[in-house]
Amino acid sequence: MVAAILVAGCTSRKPKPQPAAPPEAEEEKPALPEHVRLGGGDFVLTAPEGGRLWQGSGKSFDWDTQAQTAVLTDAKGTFFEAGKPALEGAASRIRVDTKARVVYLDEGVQASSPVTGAAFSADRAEWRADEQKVYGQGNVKVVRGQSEASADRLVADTALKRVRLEGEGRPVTLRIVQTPGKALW
Amino acid sequence: MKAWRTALPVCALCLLALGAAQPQAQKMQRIEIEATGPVEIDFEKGVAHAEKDARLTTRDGTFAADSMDFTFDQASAIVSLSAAGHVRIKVKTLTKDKVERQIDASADAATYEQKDRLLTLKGNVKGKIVEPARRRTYDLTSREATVQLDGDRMHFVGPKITITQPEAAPEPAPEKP
Repeated sequence: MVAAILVAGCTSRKPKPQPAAPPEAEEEKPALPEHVRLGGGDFVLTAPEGGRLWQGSGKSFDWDTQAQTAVLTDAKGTFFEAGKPALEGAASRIRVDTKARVVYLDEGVQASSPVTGAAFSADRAEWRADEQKVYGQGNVKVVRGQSEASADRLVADTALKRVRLEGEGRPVTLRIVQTPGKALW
Repeated sequence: MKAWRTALPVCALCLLALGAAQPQAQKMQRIEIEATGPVEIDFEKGVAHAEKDARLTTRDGTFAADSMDFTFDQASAIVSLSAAGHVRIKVKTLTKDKVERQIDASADAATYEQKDRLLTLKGNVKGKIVEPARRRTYDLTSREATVQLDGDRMHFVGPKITITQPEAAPEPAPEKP
């Protein structure tokens, strides 16, 4: 099955338009497969049945026709679960494999869930639409309220309801703050 | 020093009224939990599981075991914990910065409820509870022990509890204004 993909123009958002600016990505758009469209707005990855999976934008956008992958720089986007926003994520580079329906976030990954209020950061992460799971790797930190967890790897559902943390040769650490009146002992 | 000793028989039940202690200081308390195995957190259910050499540390104590489970509230504060396998607890409770009670014990399993400050140790319970102000020491070798860390409830299930205390502890001299 082929995912329906709506690529709706991840154009540069420059504060002041340059007089001799190079042509916008829209004008340079490569030959796209039938199920990929490029227009103004966000890049949208949809499921075969049409439901939204990921929607994002970046300063720049590259489309690889052969591999059917999109690369966005200084990018951010929203991951959807059952059609509802479940995770907001940003990274220096986001690569979307439209065939495999996998979104890769590289460098300075920051993500937060509007569902649980939990957030995580990592060196890199990937989100697999078919599994509805996010995998984080390298300097993983999970924060919720005043509590924080550190690990080397993270596996979680899209909304960060359930998070599994692992260390690579070092322990997973949780730092919890007990509010006044709730001291453990 | 004369000592008063008693050995309680198998399955002895001991409920002691030791005088209510003051509640813990109303301060933020920082807790660190470490585990070499995976740690799973379910934010929706408010539970967490730490696997393999789990260790909880606060300024006033440590709680270590093969694995630990926690429940926490909406603010991510720990509400209860249970530990299984090679449980070791070393905690001191403070009242106005004075040590009220020190517990140094091991067991097969343990549970702790934050609200009631109730620690229950189960299976091969061994260790000591020391109350410096009362100059009292409990040597535990029991199947089960329940202790209210900052209160007056203690419950032991045999086979042997030894309580050591000077016969007449001198009254502390009243402080001069």
